[in-house]
Amino acid sequence: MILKKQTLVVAMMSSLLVTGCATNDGDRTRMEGAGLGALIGAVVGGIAGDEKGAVLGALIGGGAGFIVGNEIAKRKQQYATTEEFLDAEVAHVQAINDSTVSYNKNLRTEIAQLDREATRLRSQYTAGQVKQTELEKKRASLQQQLATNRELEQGLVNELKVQERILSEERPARSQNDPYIARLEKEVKALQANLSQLRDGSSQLASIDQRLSV
Amino acid sequence: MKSGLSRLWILSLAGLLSTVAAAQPPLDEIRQLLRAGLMPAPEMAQLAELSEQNLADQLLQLDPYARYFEPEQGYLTLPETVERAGIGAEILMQQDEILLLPYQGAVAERAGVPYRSRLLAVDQQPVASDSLQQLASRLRGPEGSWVSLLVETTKGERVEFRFLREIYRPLHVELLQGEQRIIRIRDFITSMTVPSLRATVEFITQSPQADHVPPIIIDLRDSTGGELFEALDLAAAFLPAGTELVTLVDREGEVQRFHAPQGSKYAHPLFILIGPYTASAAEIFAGILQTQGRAVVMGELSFGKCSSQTQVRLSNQAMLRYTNREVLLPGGIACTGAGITPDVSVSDSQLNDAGYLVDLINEWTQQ
Amino acid sequence: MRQVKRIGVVALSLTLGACANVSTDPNEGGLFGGIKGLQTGAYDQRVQEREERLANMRALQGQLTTEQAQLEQERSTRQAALANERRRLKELDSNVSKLSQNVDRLAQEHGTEDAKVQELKSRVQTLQSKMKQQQSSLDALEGSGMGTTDADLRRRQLEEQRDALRREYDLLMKLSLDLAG
Repeated sequence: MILKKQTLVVAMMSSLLVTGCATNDGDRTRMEGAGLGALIGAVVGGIAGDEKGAVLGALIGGGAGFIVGNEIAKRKQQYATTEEFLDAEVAHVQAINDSTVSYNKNLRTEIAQLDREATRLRSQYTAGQVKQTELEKKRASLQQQLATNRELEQGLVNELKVQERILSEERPARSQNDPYIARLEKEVKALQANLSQLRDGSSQLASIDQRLSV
Repeated sequence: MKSGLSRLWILSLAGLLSTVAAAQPPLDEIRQLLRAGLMPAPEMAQLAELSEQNLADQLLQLDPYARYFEPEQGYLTLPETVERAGIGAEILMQQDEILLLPYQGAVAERAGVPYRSRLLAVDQQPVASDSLQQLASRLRGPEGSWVSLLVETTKGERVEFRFLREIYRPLHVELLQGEQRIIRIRDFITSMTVPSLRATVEFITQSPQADHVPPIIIDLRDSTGGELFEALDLAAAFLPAGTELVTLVDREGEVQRFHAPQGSKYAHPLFILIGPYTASAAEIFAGILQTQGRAVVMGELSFGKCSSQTQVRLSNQAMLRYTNREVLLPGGIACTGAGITPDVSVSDSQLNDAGYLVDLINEWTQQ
Repeated sequence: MRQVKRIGVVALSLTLGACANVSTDPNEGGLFGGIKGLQTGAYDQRVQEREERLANMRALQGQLTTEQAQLEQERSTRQAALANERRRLKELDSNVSKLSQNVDRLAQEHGTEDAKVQELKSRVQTLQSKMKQQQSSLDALEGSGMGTTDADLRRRQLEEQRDALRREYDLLMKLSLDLAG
């Protein structure tokens, strides 16, 4: 019944060694389960029996401990997988979000630029409208002046025609009524009358028939 | 008292008788003048038969150009510078037809009455039976009164014209407007025609349309003559001093030669248009210039009357006109009966076409 | 027996001690970590934390996506508006340019028209003064210059006639006086 200290220490040392050989946590878990089980088994076996009992207990305990450890390792693996998946998801979504934030920032910048451009164009447009209005006013004024001028021109052309017609029509009449011409004609007539006496007997006619002025 | 009254009565009677005597043509005076100077010499019997009642016809028998003008009648055709209201035209007889020769710018011309239209009716009344004087009084009238004329144009169309009479005073020498300015001389009047022509030639040559030395075209197509010496003076204006103009021959054979005097002369190329009624002084004028090689005469053979008449005032203040001279062209060429033969002959219709005649002249000047 | 108990207690203490400091990360901690994680619910908590974080991230993503869509919409609207502005500005510029040319042309025409009107006015004035001149007559022109009107021709003809008649009259008067004398 006296379990030799050495045996226990060896069991413990063995457990530790075995644990140390695990390459991953799952293995480690299983090994630790096995180790712990073996230890407990050894203790219980040692308590219950002698050294053989301890060894048996260690073996059984180790086996059970391994199974338990395996289960735990499986469970742990599940959690780890889930965590890994979730972490990956989070990272993925994070990346998307970052990208979206950056994109949205660019969009805002672009929008701001568009706004500025639009404002600039609008002010140009307003200025252009002002100019257009001025030109339209000027055009209307010129058209008005031209229309007035044309009317005036037409009036003057008509007046010119009328006056020219009057002049040309009146010219014969005017020349007849012109005081100077009338004076000349009177003088010519008087001279002829005076001459008719003086010419008596000195004229030679050469004509046929009579022509009368009517 | 009684002797005073009877003296008064006798004086009155004497006065009345002398008035009556004065109104009657002095036949003896007329006979004497005709016997002495009429060409050709009259038959004594014809002279003896002269009577008051038939004087006009009897004179025509003796001499187709003899006329007796009553004292109050104007003896010369004075230029119409008097104010007259009418249609603004001349009328004359040619072969029993009345021709209308409208004045430039007067109402008949403006209304469109063509030159040389034959007048058929005035105010729907035919003119055939009218004397020229009667017709004249129908055509003259108050200013502003309506008159209608039915005429036959030179193309044979009958057209009616209706217009208002106007006061007019025609130019003595007319300028026909157109491409070439033709100077129309209707008659020759002492101290009127030559100055008028000079003024007109100056007018043409100073006009902006004038060429440097434009030809002068004188239209005598309807010129029936006028005063001989005026025609001679006019011819002289185109001839160097001393050039022979005409020789006047009287019944006795006495001659009187006339030459161009000194004075300013025209050097323009000269064209004269004549027709069948270019007569007497007008054809003598054309004949002189043609014979002297100074003018080119175009148109048709002229009338052929180159005699000249004188006018004598009778004791009763009446005027007697009779033929007393024959006119011979330079070189003694007679033109009575023969007329002036144009250098360039045209037909009747061409004679009435001023444009055609101007083209002929232009062709001639380009030769 | 006592030594066994002692060893047992030591082992248990060691185990407990190990348990107390063991990681809750299912990738670590071995058996004791696993037991701890499972027993304490740390593993669940961890998963829950992660799930919550993911949910938050997704919510954020949704917001950002919505925002993005809105911004894109806005951008698109702005771009269309800008294109519109450009187009209408271009149209305006073109109109203004045509208008300007039109105005220039009208101004030129106005200048010409003005000159025409001035010329006509002066012609009318000239005519009026000519008429007045004719009215007041050709007295002033006597013997001088030569116009080209009918009145001028008439005047010249009459002047020449008058002069010729005067000369003839003077001559005949002289002759008749000589004869009388």
